[in-house]
Amino acid sequence: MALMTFPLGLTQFFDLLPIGKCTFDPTEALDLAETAGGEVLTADLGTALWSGQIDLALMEHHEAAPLRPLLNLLRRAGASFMVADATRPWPRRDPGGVVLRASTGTPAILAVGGSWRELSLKGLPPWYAISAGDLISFAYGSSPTRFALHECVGDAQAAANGETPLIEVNPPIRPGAAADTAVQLIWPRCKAVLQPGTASLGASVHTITSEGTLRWTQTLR
Amino acid sequence: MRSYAPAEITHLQARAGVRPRLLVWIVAKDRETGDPFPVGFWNGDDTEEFTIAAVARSYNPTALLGMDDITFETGLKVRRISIWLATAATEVIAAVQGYDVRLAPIEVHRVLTDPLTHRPIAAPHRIWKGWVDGAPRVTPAKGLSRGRVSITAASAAMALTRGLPGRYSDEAMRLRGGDDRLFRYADISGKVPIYWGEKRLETGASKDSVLPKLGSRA
Repeated sequence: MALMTFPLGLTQFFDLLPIGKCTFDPTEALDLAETAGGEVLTADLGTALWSGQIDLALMEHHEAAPLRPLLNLLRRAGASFMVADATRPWPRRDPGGVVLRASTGTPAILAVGGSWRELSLKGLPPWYAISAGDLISFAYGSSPTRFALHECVGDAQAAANGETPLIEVNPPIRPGAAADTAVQLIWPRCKAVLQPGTASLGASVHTITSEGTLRWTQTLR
Repeated sequence: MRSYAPAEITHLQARAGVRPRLLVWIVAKDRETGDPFPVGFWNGDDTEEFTIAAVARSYNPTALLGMDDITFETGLKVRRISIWLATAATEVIAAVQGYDVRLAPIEVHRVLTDPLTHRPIAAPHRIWKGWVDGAPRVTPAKGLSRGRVSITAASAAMALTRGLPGRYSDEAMRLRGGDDRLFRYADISGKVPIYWGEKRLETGASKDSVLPKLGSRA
């Protein structure tokens, strides 16, 4: 088997995790000033990156064993892996991604809105529905390739030619995302690193390994 | 008082939250060729270009941990602030240790970005200009984190503490202008005895005692 290269793909790490409980949220780093007048003023100091925690379900020892080397591999400096939201693997109105998989078109960005908060898609099946909360990911840039993950704020529907109007997304789109970039709507993913000191496969009792947990933060580079 | 661009004033008056970011630009020197090696760091989340003084500058992300508060004051005092860069960022190590940052020009800009779109509202403002006056690297002990390179940035007033680069000599004058011979005898002046009429002026003698006084009949 070839040496592992980073980031580890979904099939190399994320798909193997028996997820018991998970969170998937963007970070926020706000400077807060609550005045005596009762006003809450905020200033944005940090970046809007995805982060989350994955608590692993109960495993038997032989199930936990193949995960150990992977998790320990990711503890190294510079190691990264791809992560997805287990609760939103495909658009809400297309369970299993059946319609999208059957389509011959390649979903791609049609245009990025001038506000950098909107994008429109093309190459979707006719009348394909995008709902609020659906995730979109795409790769852009080079050395290294960046992975962008956005969630749709509003609903949208593709026209007969598979093109959608502008859809507001969260977080804002970063420079580098260009038209014709292929997007992923099935298992949208982003690149992440383990937060040091948080990963553990848990404790083992008689036949069960439990309480495994890890925290991750998205990284662009 | 800093003068803001109209777009920034509109943004600030809207009271819809602010999202400032800091940009640090260091012009290091290549140790072998002596060529300038500009490098930028900012506390945004991805590499981004900002056009400053009509030149596009590319800033590396996330390596800027923070910096001291800047105190505005009058006078010619040389002020120094610390700027902390992450040693875990490969760009920082490459720039600060691979290149010579001693007395490298450094500029700090502040850019206001829109909290909704994260795009800059107007061109960055320069808030510091000076020279790198030290860049010690701290590697944390095991169990601790936050290794950093603490760049000490001296303010532009440090230029006033420099000695004169030129000397009172013919060579320095001819570097200025090849045919300028004003100081041709500057290095021997006062050392060679000369005659004023019958009187020989000895070297090193006080001029007051030797020079004939006006009107005297010596």
